Amino acid sequence: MSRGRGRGGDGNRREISALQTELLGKSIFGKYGEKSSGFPEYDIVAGRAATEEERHVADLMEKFRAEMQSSVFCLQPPAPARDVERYSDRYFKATTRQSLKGLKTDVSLFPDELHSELLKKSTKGKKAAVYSGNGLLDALKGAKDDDEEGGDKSGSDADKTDKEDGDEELGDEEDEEDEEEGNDYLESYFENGEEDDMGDLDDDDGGGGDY
Amino acid sequence: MYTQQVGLCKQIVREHYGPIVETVVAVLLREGRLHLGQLARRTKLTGPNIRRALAVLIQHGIATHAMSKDGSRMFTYYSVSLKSILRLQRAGLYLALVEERMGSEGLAIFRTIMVNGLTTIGSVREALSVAEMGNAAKIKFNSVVAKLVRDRYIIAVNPQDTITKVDRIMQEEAVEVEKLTIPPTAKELLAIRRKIIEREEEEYQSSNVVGIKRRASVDISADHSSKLHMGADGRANGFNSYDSGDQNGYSHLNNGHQQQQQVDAVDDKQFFRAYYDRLDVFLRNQQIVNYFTDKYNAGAGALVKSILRVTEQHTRTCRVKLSETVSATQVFQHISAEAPLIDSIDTSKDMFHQKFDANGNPIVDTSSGTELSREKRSEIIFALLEVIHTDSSGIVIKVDERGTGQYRVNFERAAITLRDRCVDALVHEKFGSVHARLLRVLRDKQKLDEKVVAQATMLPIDSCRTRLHDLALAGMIDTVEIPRSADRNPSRMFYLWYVNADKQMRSAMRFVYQGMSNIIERNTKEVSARALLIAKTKREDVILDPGLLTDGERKELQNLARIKQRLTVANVRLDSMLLVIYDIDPLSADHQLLQ
Repeated sequence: MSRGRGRGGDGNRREISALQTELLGKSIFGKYGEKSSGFPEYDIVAGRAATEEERHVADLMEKFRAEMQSSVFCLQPPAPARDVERYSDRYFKATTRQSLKGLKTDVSLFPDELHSELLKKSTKGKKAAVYSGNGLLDALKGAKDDDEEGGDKSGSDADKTDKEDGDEELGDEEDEEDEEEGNDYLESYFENGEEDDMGDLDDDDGGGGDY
Repeated sequence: MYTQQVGLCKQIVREHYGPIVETVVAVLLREGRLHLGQLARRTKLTGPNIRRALAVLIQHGIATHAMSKDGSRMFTYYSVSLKSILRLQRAGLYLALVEERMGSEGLAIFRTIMVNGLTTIGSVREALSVAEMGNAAKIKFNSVVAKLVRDRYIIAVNPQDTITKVDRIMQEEAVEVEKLTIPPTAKELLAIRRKIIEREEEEYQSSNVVGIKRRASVDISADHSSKLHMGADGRANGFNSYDSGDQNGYSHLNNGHQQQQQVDAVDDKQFFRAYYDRLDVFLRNQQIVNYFTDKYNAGAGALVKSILRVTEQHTRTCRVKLSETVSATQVFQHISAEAPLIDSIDTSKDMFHQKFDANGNPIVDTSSGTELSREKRSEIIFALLEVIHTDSSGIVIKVDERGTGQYRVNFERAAITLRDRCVDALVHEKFGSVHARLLRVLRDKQKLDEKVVAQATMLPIDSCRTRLHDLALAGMIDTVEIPRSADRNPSRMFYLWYVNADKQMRSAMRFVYQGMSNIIERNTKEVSARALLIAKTKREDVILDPGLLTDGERKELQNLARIKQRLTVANVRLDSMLLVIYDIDPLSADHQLLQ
């Protein structure tokens, strides 16, 4: 009666199952603490204790390492987005690292292609470039707007904030337009047969007569 | 370059600069010189990330750049230096050395410069808020900075320093060759190269140190003098008067008298970086002093220390093989008053110094023993010098017998002696005392047959053979074949065992690199196992109120700090071994010249 136990071919020899090792304490390995040839006793020699000087050097090393890791030179990839908002998130301050562009260094020591990462970009040129492109866009969009709403968005005195407001306004106007004018989907062009009155239909000879 | 060395460098860079810089360094170490486009293809990082990583590496002197033509276009090629990366592991030793010699002010200045890579003194002043300090502290700051620059702990940086050295030398060579009307011969080319290297040496040895602007005389009052020597934590004492090469530094003031102080002013706008080659010289000298202290006594160590301090002025890097000549009188003048010379050597039976009374009986010195007279001091120093220069290591040699004698330090012999001692300790630790004894016998007796080795070490032949093969497998010893017949039949050859110093050094370095790599990995594992706990300590509420941590958590943090300290101490010990085995050897320092 070796149902469920071993292979049953040789009744004298049985494989030790996991249940037996739990219940009877049998194990194919020796008991814990027993000596075996595969795992001989090994005398672990502890290293000599650190002297005062060595501890001091180790402390200096740790402080230096910590300073480097918190400096602007330790480049970390951005943290992955959190999947779930947790209660403890409020206690973790978002650490904002300084950029390399704020670093006071001699740029002449670096090749030209790396200067973009070390020098702060001036924003004047950028504003003008953005403005000139959007100014045309504003003009085109302004032609669509109503005269009442049309703000004077062209002109050399417009600021970036005005332009942003202008963009927001444009966006709002577009929404309003959509809401006001509606869309083609409010009206259905197709007759789906719901309003048809079956009784009004003329008799058709297409299919045959009535029975 | 070894596999273990590359793995270690990647770990060090990741620890200090993060994963982005590590990726760039890994590719540069594997592939060699690359330009931006090639780096982008191989690292798969974005352009801005690669540029930032390269900027960080150049800022810290790890990477260099050079313009080179590839086809019709000019590219900027970047390469990294293994030596500069491995130096980051020695930061603790460098900082401790600077603190010992320059005090806590010097330590703060030097650490700021190390963290920033290269920076101006003006930026250091801002970082340490010197403007908010008192007048005396500002004067102390200026004098410490001047001393750091004068003694070349920090060195001025110019745009040529970030260009790859090989390219720079080739450019200078090309300029010299252009001046010639006919193509140079091999001899002329060698002479040009020697001239370029000597030019660098002359610039270093010149008394005009780049970065020191002018001398300013400052009036200071005496009541500030006592406050200036103690550091903020009371650890270091600032200047020791016998340390300074010339007497332009600080002078002790008398009570209530105003004195003029000459202070070198350093240019605030000049960029400086730490000069690690010079610091390696100081660390090497410390190892030499430790050797004599261990072998003889503290007095002998103090004497060798004063010899080395006198010669330090002219020793730029570890490539120097022989020091300048030092007379016994100079040693006597420079040795510290606190040096433990009492009981360091017994001169009572020395016939040269023995004094006799009128009846011819020797006069025994019955002085208290706590203070030495000038005469007794000179007696002890000259006797110690005699013992030291006759030491079997040959580190201190006497070059002139005239007068009190002239001495020099042989740094080549010092490097060999220290390295052998270090490797013996490594073998003893790894294999046991019998293997170490075998190694010492082979080193002393040069090439020996197996049977002769067994006789010399008093071991049975089979045991000796096993141990010899263990050492050969570890790369500590090697065999040389001596053929008995013209056909070089292997069965009729003599195989002699000997110590191949080069191979031994490389094997020892591999052990050390692997050990350091394992330590960093273990450190990372211990920290990551407690990642949640460490994250908890960074919470704002826990920072404000540490009582929010439970007792178990506090105990675990202390355990982690203890583990990290032990691992760092082990790392420092391994790095000291690396310094002794490789960095201080003048021959290997020559090989590292182009790195």
